[in-house]
Amino acid sequence: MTCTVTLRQQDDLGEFRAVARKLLGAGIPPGEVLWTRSEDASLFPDGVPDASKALSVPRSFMDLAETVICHRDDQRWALLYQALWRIDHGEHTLMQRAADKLLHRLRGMASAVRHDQHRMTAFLRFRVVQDPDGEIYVAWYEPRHHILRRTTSFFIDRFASMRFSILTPDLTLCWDRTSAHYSAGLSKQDAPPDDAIEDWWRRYYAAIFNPARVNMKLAQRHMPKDFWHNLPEAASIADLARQAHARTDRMIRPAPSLPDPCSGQTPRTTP
Amino acid sequence: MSLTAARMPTLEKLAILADAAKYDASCASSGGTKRNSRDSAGIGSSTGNGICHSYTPDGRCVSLLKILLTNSCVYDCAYCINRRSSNVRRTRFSVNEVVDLTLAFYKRNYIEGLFLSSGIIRSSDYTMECLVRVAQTLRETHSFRGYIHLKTIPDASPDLIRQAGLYADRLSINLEMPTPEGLKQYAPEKQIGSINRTMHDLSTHIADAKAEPKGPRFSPAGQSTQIIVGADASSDSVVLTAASSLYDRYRLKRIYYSAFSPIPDASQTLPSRPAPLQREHRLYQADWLMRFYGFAASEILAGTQDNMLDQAIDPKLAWALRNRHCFPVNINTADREMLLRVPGLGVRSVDRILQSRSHTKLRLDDLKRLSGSIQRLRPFVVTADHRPTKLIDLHDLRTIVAPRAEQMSLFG
Repeated sequence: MTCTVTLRQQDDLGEFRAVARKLLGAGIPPGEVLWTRSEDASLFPDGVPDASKALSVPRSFMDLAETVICHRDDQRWALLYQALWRIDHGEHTLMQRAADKLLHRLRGMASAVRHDQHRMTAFLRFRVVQDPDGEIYVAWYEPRHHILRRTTSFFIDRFASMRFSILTPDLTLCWDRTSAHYSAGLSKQDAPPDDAIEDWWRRYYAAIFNPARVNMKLAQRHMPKDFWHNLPEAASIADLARQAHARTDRMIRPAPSLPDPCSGQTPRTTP
Repeated sequence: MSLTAARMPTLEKLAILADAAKYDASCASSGGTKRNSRDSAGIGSSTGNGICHSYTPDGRCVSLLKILLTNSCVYDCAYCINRRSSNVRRTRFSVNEVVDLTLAFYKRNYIEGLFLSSGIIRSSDYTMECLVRVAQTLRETHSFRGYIHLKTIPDASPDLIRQAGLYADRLSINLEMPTPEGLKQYAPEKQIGSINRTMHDLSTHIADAKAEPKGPRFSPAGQSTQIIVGADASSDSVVLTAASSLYDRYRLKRIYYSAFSPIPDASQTLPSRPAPLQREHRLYQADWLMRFYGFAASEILAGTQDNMLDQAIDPKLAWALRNRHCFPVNINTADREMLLRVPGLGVRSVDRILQSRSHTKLRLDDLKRLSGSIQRLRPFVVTADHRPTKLIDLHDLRTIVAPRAEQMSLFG
């Protein structure tokens, strides 16, 4: 018989753990569980005896599971349950066997989640707006996985003294300088449209670019195009890349000039 | 400074002083002490790992606000856009302009912090003092806990260096030319002795601070330097031997290799064409082999042609092809040191192999999962189900394992 389990949370290991312990207690093998998600359906099917099993797992499994649970692939619960089942059925060294197919897949998912978190810390941009209490920093960001909750501490560590909000399609975070609150997801229209400092940032971005080294393939590998639409500096990329060769040619061709004795801007010589 | 500078709007200064700073390849924001701002009115954190917040169309990362305090300079180094005899427009930031810019960018999550360098004006001490004042204002007035990289000015007083190390996560002084003769030719006012002395002093302070964790901090992310490649005639052998000696003598955290790049209004003594970026890339790979894979510079260079690294294949593969008697390596029994020498195996793959093989005899399929790809590994390894008979003796082994030309253009 197939047992259907419905989870409410996208990224909550606690909920999954409670369900998995029940399933293990009832001795239901991975092949007989169907994992689904819904925000309002009941958590657990009737007919499964309530005999939660206390299972000890390696700490490294918990770390892996906490990360994998944020992956957007709906197979994550089934895969994690398979791993738990095998650990519970004698494969105590599963976590050390990096070449195992299941573990390899789970590690790949965890690594995708961590990469996504890293990109969020890198590519998220705040815009400043004023409200009656002063400045508030607001960012719109579209993560690939369910990583906002998991990445919150990074932003609080860094910006604890600022009021800030991070808006994503799935979830919204508000930090009021003392505590974090989560609420439903929002849309890009809910975020501020611009910030005056972005002109400065674009000016810096254009100036720090060396046209003699233009390499769009490399740039795109590090900063994929699907992140560009939320990066203020990305609007300049096309023009900078197009003009690069002409700018380099101008640097190479003309004969080097000698210092202009009339400029009056040559600094003083060594004292 | 001049009236022009005083009148110039900050936005324009930013364009000039960022443009003037871009030939310094250093961008790292890693290695600082872990810290956050949860307990303070200040701002900033460091996880110890750097973050690249953006990439410019040259594929280089933007991690720090990299600017000069001023692009005026009393030196006349041929390779430098800011040399005394260049006709570039001169300007200068005030301390507060740099502080405000850093904070405005940091609060919007554009950057990890500040990389501040400067042309040398008036004297070494005067210039160093200006740099220190910016860092001090950020740290003390604004409780800034982000990353700060300061350039060390040669011959600055020990007291200023001590202060710089107190506020900065990393300090650096650029060697630029790989040989003393090159330095003499292209940077006549710079003294190799003074650069070496500064590096030596920094390495002593860094080691002392590490040994005394409760004492005052000193540049916890260490020191780095930069070598320009292709401006003079130095071979890769000269560059790597110099690098290896710098790592040994001064415990540098990193050396940056910067392929000579044409600058506007260049000096006539320089080549007018840029050095190939591929050369820079191969030097970085060789540097990596020295730092993380247990290779000595002499091993990487032995048997190369004209003392230059092979441009078509990476230096680890090139070493393996020249040392076929060391292969094939048995994945299930070889020690860590030898596994690290197998082309296609990185440090992480090797660690996973060592962990996995104590539980199971590794087969080719397992190896594929552990290392990502086995295409180039096959001729060099033995697994439970694979032995590359004869393959290692093939004359055209190079064409079998070398990446195709199409892939090479990635770096070009």
